[in-house]
Amino acid sequence: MKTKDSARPRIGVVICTCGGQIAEKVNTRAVEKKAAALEYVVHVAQVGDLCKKESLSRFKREFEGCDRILFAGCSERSSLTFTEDRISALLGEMGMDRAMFEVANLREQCVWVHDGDLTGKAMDLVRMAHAKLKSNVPTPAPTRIIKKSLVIGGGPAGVQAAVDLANAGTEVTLVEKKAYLGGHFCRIPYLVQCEGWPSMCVSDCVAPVQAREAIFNPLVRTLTGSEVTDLVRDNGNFKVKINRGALLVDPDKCISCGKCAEVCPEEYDSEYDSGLTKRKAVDKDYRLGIPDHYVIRKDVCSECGECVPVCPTGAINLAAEAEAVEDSFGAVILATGFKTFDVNTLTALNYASPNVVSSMEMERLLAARLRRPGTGPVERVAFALCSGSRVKDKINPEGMPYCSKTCCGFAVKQANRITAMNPNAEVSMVYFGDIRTYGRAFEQFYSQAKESVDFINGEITAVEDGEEGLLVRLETPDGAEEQLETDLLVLAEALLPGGSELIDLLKIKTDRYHYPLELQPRILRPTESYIDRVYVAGALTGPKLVQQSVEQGSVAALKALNHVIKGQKDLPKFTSEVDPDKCSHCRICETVCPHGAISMAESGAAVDRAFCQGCGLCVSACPSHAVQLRNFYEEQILEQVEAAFSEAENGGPKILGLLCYWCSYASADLMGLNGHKITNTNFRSIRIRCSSSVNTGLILEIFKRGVDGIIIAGCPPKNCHHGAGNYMTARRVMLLNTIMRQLGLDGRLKWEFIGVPMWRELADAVHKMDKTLKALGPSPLRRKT
Amino acid sequence: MSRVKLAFNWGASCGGCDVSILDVGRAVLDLPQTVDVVYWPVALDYKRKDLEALDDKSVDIGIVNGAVRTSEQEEEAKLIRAKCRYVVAYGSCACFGGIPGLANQFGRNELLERAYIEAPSNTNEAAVTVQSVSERDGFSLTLPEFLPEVRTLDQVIEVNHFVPGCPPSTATITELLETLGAIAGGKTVKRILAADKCLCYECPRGKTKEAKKAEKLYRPHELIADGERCLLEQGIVCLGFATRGGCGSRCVAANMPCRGCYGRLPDTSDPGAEAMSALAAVAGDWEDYLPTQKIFDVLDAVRDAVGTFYTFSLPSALLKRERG
Ligand SMILES: Cc1cc2nc3c(=O)[nH]c(=O)nc-3n(C[C@H](O)[C@H](O)[C@H](O)COP(=O)(O)OP(=O)(O)OC[C@H]3O[C@@H](n4cnc5c(N)ncnc54)[C@H](O)[C@@H]3O)c2cc1C
Ligand code: SF4
Ligand code: SF4
Ligand code: SF4
Ligand code: SF4
Repeated sequence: MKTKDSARPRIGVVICTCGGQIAEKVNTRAVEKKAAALEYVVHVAQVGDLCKKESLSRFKREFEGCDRILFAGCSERSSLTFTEDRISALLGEMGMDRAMFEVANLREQCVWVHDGDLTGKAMDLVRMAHAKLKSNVPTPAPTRIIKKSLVIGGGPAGVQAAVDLANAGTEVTLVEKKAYLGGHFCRIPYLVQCEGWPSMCVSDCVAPVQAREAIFNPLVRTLTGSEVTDLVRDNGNFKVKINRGALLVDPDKCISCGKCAEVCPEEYDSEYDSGLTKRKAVDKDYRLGIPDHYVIRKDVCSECGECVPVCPTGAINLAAEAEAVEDSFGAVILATGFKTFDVNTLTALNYASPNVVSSMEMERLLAARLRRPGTGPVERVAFALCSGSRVKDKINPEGMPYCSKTCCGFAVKQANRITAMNPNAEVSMVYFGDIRTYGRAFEQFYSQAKESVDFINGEITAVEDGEEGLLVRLETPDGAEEQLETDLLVLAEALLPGGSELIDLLKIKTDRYHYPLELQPRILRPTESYIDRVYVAGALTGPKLVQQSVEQGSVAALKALNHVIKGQKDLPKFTSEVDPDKCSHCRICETVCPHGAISMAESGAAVDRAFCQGCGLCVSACPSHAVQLRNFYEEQILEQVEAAFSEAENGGPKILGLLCYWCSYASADLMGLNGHKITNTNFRSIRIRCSSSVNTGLILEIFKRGVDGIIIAGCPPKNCHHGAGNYMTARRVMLLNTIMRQLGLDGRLKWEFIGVPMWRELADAVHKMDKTLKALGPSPLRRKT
Repeated sequence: MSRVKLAFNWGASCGGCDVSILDVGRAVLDLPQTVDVVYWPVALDYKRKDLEALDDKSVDIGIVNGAVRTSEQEEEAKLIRAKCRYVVAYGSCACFGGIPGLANQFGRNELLERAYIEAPSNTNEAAVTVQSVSERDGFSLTLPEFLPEVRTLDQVIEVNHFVPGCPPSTATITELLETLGAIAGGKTVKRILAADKCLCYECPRGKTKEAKKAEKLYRPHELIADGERCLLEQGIVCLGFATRGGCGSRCVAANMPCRGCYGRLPDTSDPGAEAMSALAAVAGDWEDYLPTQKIFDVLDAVRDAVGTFYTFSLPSALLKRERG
């Protein structure tokens, strides 16, 4: 085992009676005496209310000479006054290392859960804490965090993040693929303002206002027409390669006069305008685009050179080349927005027809006041909601099973704009079962739309091009076939996350639809991805309004600021350590690490501590036993086990609970808090990291040390803080139990999904195991020496 | 250098280990130039009395294959220990218990009844099982005793070196033959003649790994595996990640998964636990989308857990069958 500095530990033991509550069932004087005799203990004291100010300052003076503290009292996890963070901070104030404390949970998991004299159990809990504390090692030194952030994606979410970071005085690089900032936002002419207020903003006004805040801030380095080509973790930071597209038109010289475009012979469909208008190879198709300069699309330019001499400022250099920018950052905000479902796959909807358009094309059509090139103003419009969303039916099996949430609202907005522009327009909307215009604004748009729009519940089975426009065939819920004629069919298509290649590059944990997942408890951690200091904001995390995307940009910026302002990251006391001599390069650890902290180096697996969250998934998975968790070394756990049952004569079978750090351990605490009693006083628990931090070999070693039964518990399904740790352990236990059953050793090992409020279930599991073990007798697995 | 005196013996084994020595070809023919074989009942005409007749510690090296199941095997193991200065456990059975060791899932009587009475190929109306001593026509016949469990060689006698493999690969045997002189000379040679790193480290498929979980597992007959890619990542339970290398990747080269004959890795204490622990972590994916009881289904491909994780090593496992 890695050991601490050579100096002998000086352990201080403080026993808090919690206003006498603990002393009612525990002879604390006896515990005090025995604790004083434990190895390295230099001072022991008893107090009644350690969490209160006065006692604390006395404690600080009294324990000054110690270098580690054993606190016997309430639960470090569930106490409302003396939690692990507070103890850590206290240690810091006393000049001790944050890792140098352990808690003997005498209140929640001892006096609150049992009746009778508990002095023996209390002493064992102190011994367990002591066994671990004596070999704890200091927290690793903080990692230097580069005081710069990278924002990828220049839509409203990304721009807002960049602006907020810069306004707080930190440097930002903003990378946008397109030639201009604004993302989808600047292509939507009329924008629902927010969820609550049924009014519109126009992007021609607000998009440039937001973009200029970024572009003119000296702390923001905006790289448009650029893409991130590589992004690797490097000593706690992110090393990034950016391909800055060739500046064929020099932004510093171009005055956007458009003379070049006048002479350019190469013409093609404007992407910005969804093909409604044409642009030249050198052009600026979004006239209000920021940064304000023309660009040349290399793939269309024939290099005829016509534009070069006409430019009054000599801005054009056709020989300019792309530039590789390399830089490092302390935080990354991913705001690559959304992409739309490929409606070409929905053959029944006939997107190939020029009269069937996507929702974004409809937005551009609204910008053009419903005038399509070549045809007159649109008179009849139909909408197909849920195009590629909520699929589970036979007709259109392609698509996403989820509701894209915003499309109903945006469609009624568009319908209302159409009738506002052309009061004679005939508008209909085919929906799938229900209309989901949530919130105050959308619902009001919907009420308004109901006055002019024909809403039809049904499923479109075919769309045919006819003489008189389109013929849309549909089937109503009662099986009837209907049809409607229209000039234009708008597909409200499903929305998908953008920037997939970056998600893969960063190895961000996602859901099945490739939306990045937020870290557990996600309810408190919006925008935090599974990878430390990688934030995900805007439509990338799910369909949103612009305002909500902006909100997330701000949140992400605030979270990134915490790190880039400080310029350092304090590392957790639990971090993974790989022994390169033992590592066999099998990459199992890399496969299971949910936080992207492991990469393969020449010497084997390499952990970047600044990304490690100390879950221990790698520890339990490494078949070479090459990985250990700092301050959770296997030897420490085994020493705890050896100490755990020193005074466990008459309490019943020896049951050890290996309870996960967050859910299950807290549940055991709440058992006591809720006054629920367990009769077996020989139940001990170890607060492990993720339920998947102990491997099968360790479980066998624990059995060898004479424990009669083991209960391993972790978070309930879908709630593991580290992705799939609970499932991994459930399967491990299942396999080991199958083997134990094959060998006639059944009944001694149990897995449970235990969430915080499931203390009844946990108590039940203990009772059941107690009964089973009583019937089975002492474990034959005990090491025979 | 003086000639090395060798004794070979076998215990509970299939005979393949002895064949494997002959299988190395030329090197065996060269052996008589450097060694004297003083005992090898499988290959040469030796009887136990020849071994007994030797002076204690007069033989340099005893090479023993096979596990210990009968009283005779136990006695001979002890004899070898007495006569030889160094003992090599040769093959997975001697090292870890091997395939015969799988019998440790069952009690002595269960095994005898199964073998002599229940097995469908038997006609044994009198329901007699094998006896150590049986009287007939005034004669008393004795057979070695069938002991309660299979043991590894080092659970019976002290072993100096281990040569794993079922059977050991030609490269491993050649290494052994080349080090015989050094062993006899008491020089420090590896205690275990296998790699210290797992098979993945040297497996030619290792470089194809993508560090991805296997969403589904297949039994070997259910999938014709791609010949280049990591078998585990294709969903085949390959134990290379938890098994010492040195075998020459024979199985994986033949598109078959590693089953663990080279034994557990140096820093582990149980031969099956690590593989179980790792497999449970990398098998299965997207569990959040499954009903909870379905998260175990991926392991349906593991039909026989003991047989999968302890194919060659049950007697050396930390878990022992509880016996009545
Ligand atoms: C039909 C329709 C109508 C809508 N109407 C409204 C409305 O009325 N009101 C409203 O509030 N919202 C509306 N929205 C929603 C609005 O468009 C989004 O909320 C908003 O655009 C999301 O902002 P974002 O910054 O997250 O993503 P986006 O706007 O999608 O911007 C993402 C940016 O990232 C860039 N990018 C992507 N990948 C990379 C990469 N690899 N490298 C560099 N850059 C990259 C993209 O080019 C883009 O500029 C509508 C959406 C649709 C589909
Ligand atoms: S060189 Fe390219 S951009 Fe310039 S005019 Fe010719 S085609 Fe247009
Ligand atoms: S918001 Fe409306 S159109 Fe979009 S998927 Fe949900 S129900 Fe369908
Ligand atoms: S799982 Fe263990 S042996 Fe395999 S690469 Fe990781 S540290 Fe190395
Ligand atoms: S402890 Fe968890 S976060 Fe850290 S390297 Fe291991 S698996 Fe990754």
